[in-house]
Amino acid sequence: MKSSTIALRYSQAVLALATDRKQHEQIGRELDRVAAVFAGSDELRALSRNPKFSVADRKAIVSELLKRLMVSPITRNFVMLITEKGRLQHIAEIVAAYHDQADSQAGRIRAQVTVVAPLAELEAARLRTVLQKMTGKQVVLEQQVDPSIIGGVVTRVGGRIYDGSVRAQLESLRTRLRSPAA
Amino acid sequence: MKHHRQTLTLGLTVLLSLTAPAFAAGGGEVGWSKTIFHGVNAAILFYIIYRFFGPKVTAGLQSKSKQVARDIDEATRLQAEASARLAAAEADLAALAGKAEALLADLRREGEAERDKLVAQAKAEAERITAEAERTARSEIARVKARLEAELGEMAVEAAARALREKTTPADQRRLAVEYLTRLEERS
Repeated sequence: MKSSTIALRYSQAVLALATDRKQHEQIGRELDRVAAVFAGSDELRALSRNPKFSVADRKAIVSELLKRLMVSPITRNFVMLITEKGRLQHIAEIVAAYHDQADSQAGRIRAQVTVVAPLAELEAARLRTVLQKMTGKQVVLEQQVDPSIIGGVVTRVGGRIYDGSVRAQLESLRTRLRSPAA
Repeated sequence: MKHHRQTLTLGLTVLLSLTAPAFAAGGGEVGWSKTIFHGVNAAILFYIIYRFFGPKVTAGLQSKSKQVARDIDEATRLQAEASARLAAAEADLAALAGKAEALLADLRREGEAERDKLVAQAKAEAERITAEAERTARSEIARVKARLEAELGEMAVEAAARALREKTTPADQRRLAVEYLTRLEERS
């Protein structure tokens, strides 16, 4: 995923700190939780964008949230910092950049796998193996359930897409039927 | 000579006209003295007339005769001219009739040529319009056919998607995942 300059700058800073403390995996997981809470709440997203809220209001609300999420001091201080700097709306992008850099640092690569129902462990292992063989890196699978693909699997890894979904096959059929030669 | 005869005839006529009353007045009895007297008078009168008026009468008659001859000549000439003019007019008329006929023939020929040209142009235009209409119709048919095929294709794809959503079981999903993995493994 291509990250913005802001996301790269903040993610590099927190990753360096977490790596120094050998907590980069834990911090990554905590940042995921924070990002997931923001992604799932319209009110929190509004808080990060609406100028009616002062910095102090934002910091108070975020502080309360982090207390409930029981995150480490590094995560807490980092999230408070981006709140103070008015970059809270970039949290998802910053977390994604963090993972990209952490994976790159660890020789890993993330694969976004879209399915109708989560893959069984056996199929997930097969997919991980084949992707590792294809990329030459350790692969972390991130499964996303999306019924709109109807069936099959779509994998995005290293800028490439392997689309084996039923939706893609139907689209291909639709295109062939629309073409004059059909 | 001719003039003398005319003069003599005139004199005798005058003489007889003058002696005739004397003979009639005699009641049938011949009065020779009166007759002779009248005859002499008539002769004297005739002589006087002949002597003093004869040349003039003769000249007048000759002049009149010449004038009549000239008039006849002139009339003959005029008749000849008129005949010539008539002939020329008749010739002109004949030529004119010929020209009119030729003109009519030309006009008819030009009219026929123009008609043929217009017919050919109309035919070409009709053929062009027909070809254009056929081309438009073919294009429209192809467009409608393509649209219908696209709509049918769209409907078929939508129907297939609906059926797959409704009827795909977890076992089908797993089989699809396995097939996907197999293809991916073949590529790697």
